[in-house]
Amino acid sequence: MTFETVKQVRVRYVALIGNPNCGKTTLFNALTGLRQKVGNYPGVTVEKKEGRLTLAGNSEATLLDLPGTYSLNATSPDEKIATDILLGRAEHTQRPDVVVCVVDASNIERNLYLVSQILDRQIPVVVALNMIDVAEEAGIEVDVKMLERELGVPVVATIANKGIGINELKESIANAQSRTAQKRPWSMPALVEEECGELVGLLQQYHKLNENSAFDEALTLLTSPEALEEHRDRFAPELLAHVQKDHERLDFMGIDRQSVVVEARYEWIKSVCGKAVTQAQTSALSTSDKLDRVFTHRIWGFVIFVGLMALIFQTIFTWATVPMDLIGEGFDSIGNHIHEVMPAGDLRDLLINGGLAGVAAVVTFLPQILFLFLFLGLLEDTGYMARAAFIMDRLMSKVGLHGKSFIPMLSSFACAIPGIMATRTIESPKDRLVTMLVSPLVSCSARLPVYALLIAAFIPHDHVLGFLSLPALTLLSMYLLGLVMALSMAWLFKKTLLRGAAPLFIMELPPYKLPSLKSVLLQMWERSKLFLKNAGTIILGVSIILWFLATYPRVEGVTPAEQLQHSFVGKAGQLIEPVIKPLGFDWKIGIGIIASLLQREVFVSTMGTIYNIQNSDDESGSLSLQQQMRNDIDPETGLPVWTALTAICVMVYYVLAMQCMSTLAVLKRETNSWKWPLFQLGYMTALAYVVTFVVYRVGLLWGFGV
Amino acid sequence: MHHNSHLSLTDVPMGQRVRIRQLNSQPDFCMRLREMGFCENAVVRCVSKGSGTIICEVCNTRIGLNQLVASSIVVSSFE
Ligand SMILES: Nc1nc2c(ncn2[C@@H]2O[C@H](COP(=O)(O)OP(=O)(O)OP(=O)(O)O)[C@@H](O)[C@H]2O)c(=O)[nH]1
Ligand SMILES: [Mg+2]
Repeated sequence: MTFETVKQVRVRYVALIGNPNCGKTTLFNALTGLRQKVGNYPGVTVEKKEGRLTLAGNSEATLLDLPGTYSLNATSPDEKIATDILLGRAEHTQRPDVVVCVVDASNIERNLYLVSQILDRQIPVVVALNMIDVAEEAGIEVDVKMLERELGVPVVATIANKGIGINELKESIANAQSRTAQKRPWSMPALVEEECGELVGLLQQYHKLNENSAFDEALTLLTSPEALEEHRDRFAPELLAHVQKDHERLDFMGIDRQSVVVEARYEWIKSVCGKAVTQAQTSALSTSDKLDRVFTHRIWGFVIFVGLMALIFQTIFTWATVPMDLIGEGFDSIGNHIHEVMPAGDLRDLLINGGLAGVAAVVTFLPQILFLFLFLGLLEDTGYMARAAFIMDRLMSKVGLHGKSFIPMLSSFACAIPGIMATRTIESPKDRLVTMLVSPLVSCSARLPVYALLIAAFIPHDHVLGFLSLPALTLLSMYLLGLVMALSMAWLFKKTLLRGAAPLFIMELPPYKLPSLKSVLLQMWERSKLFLKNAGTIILGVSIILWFLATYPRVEGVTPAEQLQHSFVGKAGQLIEPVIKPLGFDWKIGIGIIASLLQREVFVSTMGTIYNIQNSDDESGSLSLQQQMRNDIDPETGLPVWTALTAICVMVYYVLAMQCMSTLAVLKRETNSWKWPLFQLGYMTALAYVVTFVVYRVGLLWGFGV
Repeated sequence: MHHNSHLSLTDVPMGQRVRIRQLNSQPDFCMRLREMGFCENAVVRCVSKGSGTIICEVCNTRIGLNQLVASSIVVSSFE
């Protein structure tokens, strides 16, 4: 291969591109020192991320991490982000000066397909041959020098997660050279080449295209079945007539126009691999194959999945209690300390009942949330996530979606926002929209404090079904209710608003691997930082505002409980009480629901603040929030405000109601209009109200209301 | 021995290797199949079968498909 002119390029903007799950983000993190999310399933990265890359001689460049893609003909929104940037079609983003093509060495043939498409462009390329450790284990050996010669671009072997080859890669990026007028290495059958050549000539003549884009257009016109109809207005009639004749000739010769280019590329790849790759014949089943026989088994697969979920919820409940109690005690002693050292007055009340009570109520649940993220991280990192999608495909196809829609739902266990983002991997726009609409019904980590508080306070600690306790079972039921409702609504939407064809499901299943403790812990660390920051800002802010509204206007000579009744919050509560009375909620719950429209954890902090104010002068003020809630008596009826049924109704309401402004904002961004977020807010709130009402009435009938 | 019996990927027993002959789906989706390795003439091995789903190995990767996709891939045995 010869270069006509070899020119060093100024490297300022570098993009990482490659197949899904080949290690781009791991490489990005190693190159920039950042901590973007890594996981062992395709479609972890769904938006572009930028970082600073310091090259030799201290020159700085911007490095871009992109979603994975199988080819430059993108079909899903995440792939489109990658290909648009590479082809210079993205708004506000320049074309990269150098492209680092990440290739998974253990799966080199398929990965080289994208490389072959990129090599057709005149853009400086460096190939990072990643995962050579995995390849070696599978008995695949790659001759890097030979591959370099065959591809005509620098190739660097790397093991991204161990930081091997990173410096060499930096060097190659810094020395990247422009590739002008390089001969295309792959070739199609003679007849197709001939006609393609003619078309390129015509396109340059009629439409003044440069050689590169003329070649692209020629290929599309020749191979795409709808090309003629689709591009009728774009091209000169003479040209289209020529294309028509070409089609007839190729069809007559029995050449499959659709597949001819892909096959030609794979032919070339085969010859490259023939020279540069040696693979030991392995007939034995790999470990992943053996595991898949169990984990994706038609019966066992499902049993294992449900068992895993049950185990997760059980451990969240049992293991987390110890650190939770510690945090609770910690906050208590801070409160006591403030109580002792400060003189009585509004400021002390504000600190203890306003700030501390609200924040403490939420922060107590940090351990549970950490456990949830630990398990989600393990699922993602072992490769089980993709299997879960696969197992669920049959169930999902019953509601008209496919297995890929299950990954956003699983991600929504953490938070609906990454869940909605993860829908970018879904090819069909309608299926994607349906998935975005229903994903927030899946219980996110913000609901966990609400469930945990109410379960701990009102669900007896009995054992059922052997190892499963009643609290864990209740928690599991809430999560299942969310999932079942998500699926039912998906079915409804697919039947009515967003009809579509039966879904075609295809998804890569990465090899199983031992989870990297480091990356799981990092995820947990990032999450807890976010959670604490939220507690220190939004929760604190809302708690303080709530304290003012619950303390003023002052009335003299009444008990704190009566004072609360006469405050702004109390008045507002009485105003909304008629609306929520049918659900069995009293006005304090109503205030919690309104305040937590912002985000769901606020319910817990609101309870903390309100109950602390209500009981601020008597002994019960020093009791735990759960105890205070259990002791709360409705002054009018003399009955407890909270029963187990009330607790369940509040939980059901929280499972179903849309109480998260950030989710709505993200949905607005992803769908580009307020129509769908408003629809989501409306349908979820209505659903929550109706279902909670039914649960309450049925519960009363069955005598659970006491 | 050369068989020319054409089957779809759904009919392939577990563990057997076959060669892809033809893709019968919407053009866009066929393109996607090819790009993921299910190209005409590629060799596929059926790794395991679930209920309504299949895992096969192509180009050293495991790929999960549903029945609808698998039935649109025409294969022939080649050994
Ligand atoms: N053994 C080994 N594992 C690696 C290597 N590079 C990455 N991984 C692992 O491969 C998995 C995928 O890595 P990611 O960096 O998330 O892959 P990605 O290309 O960004 O994936 P998407 O964003 O989904 O397209 C993770 O579990 C990594 O820890 C490597 O060189 N060797
Ligand atoms: Mg990534």
